[in-house]
Parts: sequence; C-alpha cells; structure tokens
Amino acid sequence: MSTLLTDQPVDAPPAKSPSRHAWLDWLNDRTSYRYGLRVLFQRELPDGPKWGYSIASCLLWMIVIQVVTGFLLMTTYSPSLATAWASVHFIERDASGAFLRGVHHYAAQAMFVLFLAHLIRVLLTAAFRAPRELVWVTGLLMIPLVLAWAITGNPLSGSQRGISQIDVEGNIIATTPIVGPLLQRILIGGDRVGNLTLTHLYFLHVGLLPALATALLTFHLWQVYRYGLSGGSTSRTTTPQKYWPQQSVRNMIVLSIVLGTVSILAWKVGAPLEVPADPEIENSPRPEWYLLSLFELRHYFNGPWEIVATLIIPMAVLLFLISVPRIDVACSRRVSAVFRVSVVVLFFGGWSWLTLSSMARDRQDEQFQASEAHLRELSERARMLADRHGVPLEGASALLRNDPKTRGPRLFARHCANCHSHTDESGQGIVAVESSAPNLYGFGTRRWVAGLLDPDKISGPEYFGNTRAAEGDMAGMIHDLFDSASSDEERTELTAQMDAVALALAHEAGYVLVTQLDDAAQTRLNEGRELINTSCIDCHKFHDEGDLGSAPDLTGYGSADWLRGMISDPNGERFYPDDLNDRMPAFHSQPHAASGNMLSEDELNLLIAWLRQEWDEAESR
Amino acid sequence: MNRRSFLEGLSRSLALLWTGVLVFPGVRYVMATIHRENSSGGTARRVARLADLPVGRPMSVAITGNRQDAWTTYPNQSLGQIFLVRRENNSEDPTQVQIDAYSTVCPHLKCQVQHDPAKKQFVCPCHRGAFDLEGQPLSKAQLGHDNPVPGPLESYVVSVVEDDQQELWVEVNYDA
Ligand code: HEC
Ligand code: HEC
Repeated sequence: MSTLLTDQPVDAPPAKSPSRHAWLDWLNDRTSYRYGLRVLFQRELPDGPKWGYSIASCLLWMIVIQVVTGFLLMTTYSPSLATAWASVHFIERDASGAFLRGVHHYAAQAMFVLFLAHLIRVLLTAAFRAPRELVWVTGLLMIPLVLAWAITGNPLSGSQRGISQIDVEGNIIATTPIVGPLLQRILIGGDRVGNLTLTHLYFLHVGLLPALATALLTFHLWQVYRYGLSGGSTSRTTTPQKYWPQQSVRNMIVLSIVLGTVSILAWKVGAPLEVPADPEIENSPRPEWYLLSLFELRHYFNGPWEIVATLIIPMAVLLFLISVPRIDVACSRRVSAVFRVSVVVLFFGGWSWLTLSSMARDRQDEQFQASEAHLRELSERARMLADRHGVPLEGASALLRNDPKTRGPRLFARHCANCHSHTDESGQGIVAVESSAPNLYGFGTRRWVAGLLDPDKISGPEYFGNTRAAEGDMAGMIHDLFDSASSDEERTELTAQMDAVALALAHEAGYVLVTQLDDAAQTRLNEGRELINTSCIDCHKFHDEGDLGSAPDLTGYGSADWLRGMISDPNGERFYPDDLNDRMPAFHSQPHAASGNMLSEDELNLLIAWLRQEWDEAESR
Repeated sequence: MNRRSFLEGLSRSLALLWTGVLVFPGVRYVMATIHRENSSGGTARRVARLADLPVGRPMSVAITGNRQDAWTTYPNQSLGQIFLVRRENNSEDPTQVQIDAYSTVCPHLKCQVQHDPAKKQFVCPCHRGAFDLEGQPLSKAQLGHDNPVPGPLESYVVSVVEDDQQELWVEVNYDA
C-alpha cells in the first residue's frame, strides 16, 4: 500500500520511484497511475481539511454503492408485471440477496439526506461563488435526476404500492401542458400500467438515468477539481494541508457512520416487499418520505390549479436556486450572509413543514392506518404463500387471488353479507348489512349444529330467527321435542342427544375424523347417527334412509360438496325445493356456462374453502 | 506510532472494512446460484398400483409433480421416467414386497436408458452402455465391447403404502 501513496509533490513529473513491486512499477510506467493517485490524494486543501467536505464524498460513495448493489440485483431481477414481485421475493429469500437489496433501499434514502445536507452546506459557505457557478448549476440539476432515479426504482418490485405510485406519477406528468399526456403514455407504455411499464421503468432506472447522472456528475467533479474545494467565504488563516490523510480520515468516518446505519437497517429491518400488485386491493398510495412534501403541496391546489403544485412551484424553486449566485453577487457581505441563511431556512423549513404535516395527516387518519396494517398483513401472507408453494405461472398477484383466507371474506362481503353474518363467539367478523339469514361462522361444525338444535337458539337471530324457517317444520320439531320433556333431567338428556347428533353431522362435514376419536367419542358418534336415523328421516334424507324434497339432505351435510350444491342452487331437490327456500339466491345455477353466474367456479371454491376454514396457515412462531 | 500514520491506518482499515461488508455478501449472493437447483423437491410420489407391477420385468413409469424454476412453480409437469422392478410376487405382508427403482438417465452422458427384454439388460442407445437389472454396469467380458458408463444407475427409495380404499400403491422418493 505504501508504494501507492508516496509523499511527492503533485506537480512532480511521473517519477520512477523504485518499488519493491516490480510489476507495479511496470504498470506505473505504462499508466502513470501513481501520478493520478497523487493528484487525487496529495491535493492541497487551501483551507485545510473539513468535515463539511466529507458529506459530498460520502454522497459520491453512496452512488458507487448503489451502482454496485444495483448490478448485483440485476443478476436476478426480471422486469415484467408477471415476474417482478416473484423475482424480488426470490432475491429476498437469500440472506445475502436480502442484505444487498436492503443496502440498495436504505442507501437511496441516505442519498437524499446527504444531498440535502450538501446543498445546505454549499449555501451556507457560499461555495457557489465564482468561478464555481457551474458546479452549483450541475449540482442542482442532479436534484430532478436523482429524484427520477429513485421514482423509477420504487415500483420495480411490482408491489401494489409501487404500481399505484407510478400510476399517480404518470398523472402528475400528464398535467404538463401539451407534452404531458404524451410523456405519460410513453412512460406507462400505453394507457394502463402493465408489463411494458416495468420494462420502461427498468430501462430508465438502470440505463438512461445512470448515463445522464454519470455525465452530469463527471462535469460537476471536473469543475470541482479544476477550481479546488471551496472552504467558503470565511478566509480564516488556516495552513494549507494535503488531502491524504487528514481529509480522507474524515471522509471515512462520515462514510462509516452513514454506511453503518444503512447496513444495520438492511440487516435487521430489510427492505420492505409490499403486497403484489392487484387492482382488487384498495390502497391509497403515498410516495416515499422524500417526496411527501410535493405530495402535500398537491393538497392545496386542486382541479385546474394542480399544475401549480406539480410543475410551477417545483420549477420556480429550482430556477430560484439556480439564480442564487447572481443574486449573491449583487449583495454586500452582510446582506449576502442574511440572504443565504434565509434561503436555507425557507427551503429547508418549507420542505420539513410540508413533509411533517403530510405525515401528521396520515397518522391521524385511522382509516388510512387500518388500511396500511391490512396491507402489511396481506404482504406477509403473500410472502408466506410464495415461500411455501412458489409463485404460480400467472404471476405473484395470483398468490392472494387464489387464497381462500384473503379472497373468502371479500367474496362473502360482496355476495352474502346482505343477509348472512359471519361473526365468531366474540362478535368479530363480517356483520350482515341486515341480518336476515343464519350466521355462517363455523357452519356445519359441532358447535354450530348444536346451536341449531337448541330450542333457545334455533329461532334466534343467529339461526333461523330472521327467516321464514323460524316458524318452519324444523324449528317446530325442535320446540315440540323439548316442550315434551317433563323434567329438567329429560331436557338435559335431550341436550346430550342433540350433541351426539351434532357430532354425527360434523362428521358428515368432515370436521370430525373417526380415526381421531377415542372409544367414548366413537360410541357417541354412532349414537348420533342412530338418532338421526330414527328421529330425522321423516323429513330429511340421510344416506340410504329418508327422501329428498321436504327438507335439506343431511348426507354429507356441511361438506364442501354439500356447500357447493347449496350455494350453487339452493332450490335444488337436495336443499330447499319449491317454496321451502325463503330468500337464499342461486349463485351458480348454470355450471356449464362461462358467464351468467353470480359466482364463478373458482370463486365458489374459494368461498367454500374459506367457510370451511381450509387454508394454509403460517407455522406459529 | 505518530498521529499521521495512525490516521493513515484508520482510513485504510475503514475503507477495507466497508469494501468487505459489501463484497462478502455480493460474492456470496452470486455464488448461491452454484448450489441452486431447479428442483421439484424431494417428496414421495405414488407412481403405480402394486397390482399393475409384473414380477421380474422392469416397468417404466412417469413421474409427475410440480417443477420449480427459480421463482415460478409449474404444476403437474412430467419430471422424468423411472424403472420399477418388482423382485418377488407374494409375501405375508404386501407392504414388504421388495421393489427397486432406477433412474432412466444414463450416468455417462445423460441419455435415456431403455429396457431390452431379450437380453434382460438396460441399454443406453447413445454409446452402447449397458446395465444388468440391478442397475449395475456390465463388464467388458459380459458385453463383448467396452462399457463407457462410469457407475450404476441412480436408485431411489421405494415403499408400498395403502390408501383409504385399501388399494396398495408404490411410492417413490423422487427428487430431481
Ligand atoms: C338474500 C339473502 C341471502 C343472501 C344474499 C345469501 N343467503 Fe344464504 N341463506 C339465506 C336464507 C334466508 C337462508 C336460510 C335457508 C332458506 O330459507 O333458504 C340461507 C341459507 C344458507 C345456507 C344454509 C345454512 C343455513 O343456515 O340454513 C348456506 C350455507 C348459505 N345460505 C350460504 C350463503 C352464501 C355462501 C352466500 C353468499 C354467496 C349466501 N348464502 C347469500 C339468505 C341469503
Ligand atoms: C318435521 C320435519 C323435520 C324433522 C323431523 C327434522 N327436520 Fe331438520 N329441517 C326440516 C326443514 C323443513 C328444514 C328447513 C328449514 C325450515 O324451513 O324449517 C330443516 C333444516 C334442518 C337443518 C338446517 C339445514 C341448513 O340449511 O343448514 C338441519 C341441520 C337439520 N334440519 C337437522 C335436523 C336433525 C338433526 C333432525 C333430527 C334431530 C331434524 N332436522 C329433524 C324439517 C325437519
């Protein structure tokens, strides 16, 4: 190492310093690399080393880190709506991949903090003064560039949040007069977000924007090198010092603090991977925190005034900042200091105020918080399902679309909750708009059936209470049965018998497996089946006994097959034929038609699996 | 150690540290692909009814299952073929019948091995490799020419299981 950096004056000719490493000498002969290193590290700092310079150096290293981690992520990432989320999840499954993605995610945010700090330092030290105006302008032009760089990166994970962000951003672009709508079309790749959108964003994120940024940055750094680092207007008499090691050590310490924070966040928290994009998932998109100020600004300008927030104010701020050196020239030293400090206070203060008020608004919005919590649950579930089964061919959105636990409640709320509730013992769940049919929570289980066979409940709101069947044969039969009991003992005995019947029916539904029952329970099960065969087959069919037509079939009662029949067409002979049916609609009465059913075949299966609580559950942690 | 060399050492160490923090996971991430297999997971699959298996004569059966390609799962794909050889007819306990399962992929250059009922051999059509019905390569003396195969056919763990309908099935622990 020591041969790399020898203390020789910068302007010395490419020296043939003898070295222990002959091949390094050979390399130096051909490239004069030692001269290059000396130029960088043996530079004189007229105002001495400064912590402030380290911010810019750190910013530069963050860009390098983004490029390196970005390249590594590129080895796996696959940009299309069908594969984006799946490939990012695939990266996340590898511990190193998750760490690299985390670094990429958090270093991007660190860049914005550093960018802001750099801007403020340059303003306060008046480092933009002649001859460094072009350093200032190129630096400012990096703001929209870096923002675009980040904006095109966030949706790449193919998450619902990212996709709705880009949807909104497309609309913002469209507010620009004349060219806006065209640009929006080009960015989205058509009229709707789709496969092409992600490919376009990917091209911008890893192709065009890095190329532009490199060009701009190269110019910026060349100008910095040409005119040297500016220590600012305060020309205290400091002894000039070399860059190495006084400034380098400061840079490394600042870098360590920033990168340390980034690494810990990447390692311990990780980059989020939100729920895969699916238009069915409602969410109110928010931009990343560094864009919240612009988001908040749009609250104040609606309709035709929107362009003020999306274009005019941001452009005005940028143009004003660009003209700061010109204004500064016209000021006296005193006024200039006041001017620069007020620009910082206004700029930074305005930015913080907008950002914080947007955050506060969301924090107070309970509905928004609840929807965010729900989305987090969904994303965890999608990740669990992808871990367990891989991602289906249709893409990651199918993970939740084919998941009974996710789709079931939505289908129920849309199609069934007009009449049925689905609430557990504690009243949690989906409450019917107007409860006019039995509560279907745990339908067909021992507990549910035992409740139906209970004279105190059968005509109550949880069961037949709000239907015509409250006065029907079934309710009548249960009431008569219990009314005929003359003593409390007899009633207890009847209740025990009904429990055996409930066990037998839960067995029909498949909730009770014979192999899992002990001897006592098996006896009870047989007793229950016996009871059905004696007291219920007058009206019901049960396996080979009884007839259809007067009451629902109890064979396979509550099983997936029974439910499929009942929900598809309750007016069928097996269920509620003729005028037995009160109001239960037929949801899939044309099994062979592709359309025209209220529930498709897939939806029906999802709903049934959900009613039967048959879904994958994560292993309890 | 003077102040200057301390600062130099500190700068270099920190630079090295952070390079390491990024290079180590980077290299590990790229290396992870070396061990990655587009696999179907090693699960037991029911491949044939015991009653359909003749004694002593190899039968080739298809293995179907989910194929995993990086992040995508392709359901019910053909994963390959295997030979089942039932060794004996009856035993007291049919779940104890000895059955062997061999890969149909030649260990030489991955050609598809075929069963030659006349010679009672598994033969590889590509380079005249040959195995006996135990999957072992035949010697030059037995063959009359060189046998290019480097080793025996891969074999799998087989068990006989009974389903709810009291039907006996051959289950193969296949991972590929
Ligand atoms: C218009 C009101 C209404 C809607 C909507 C409705 N049901 Fe029903 N449902 C009933 C009524 C009333 C009954 C009681 C039986 C009867 O009288 O037909 C019933 C009975 C049932 C039963 C038999 C269990 C029992 O307690 O009797 C099931 C299962 C069922 N509904 C499922 C569903 C599902 C699933 C949906 C949504 C896809 C749904 N229902 C939508 C009114 C409705
Ligand atoms: C007098 C005839 C009659 C007898 C006896 C009878 N039921 Fe019913 N049951 C009905 C009718 C009719 C219905 C449909 C609801 C209604 O309209 O009352 C019904 C509904 C039911 C249901 C609800 C079906 C659904 O939609 O979810 C169950 C469960 C049930 N009966 C079980 C039994 C059991 C168990 C017995 C024997 C202990 C029995 N029933 C005896 C006539 C009878």
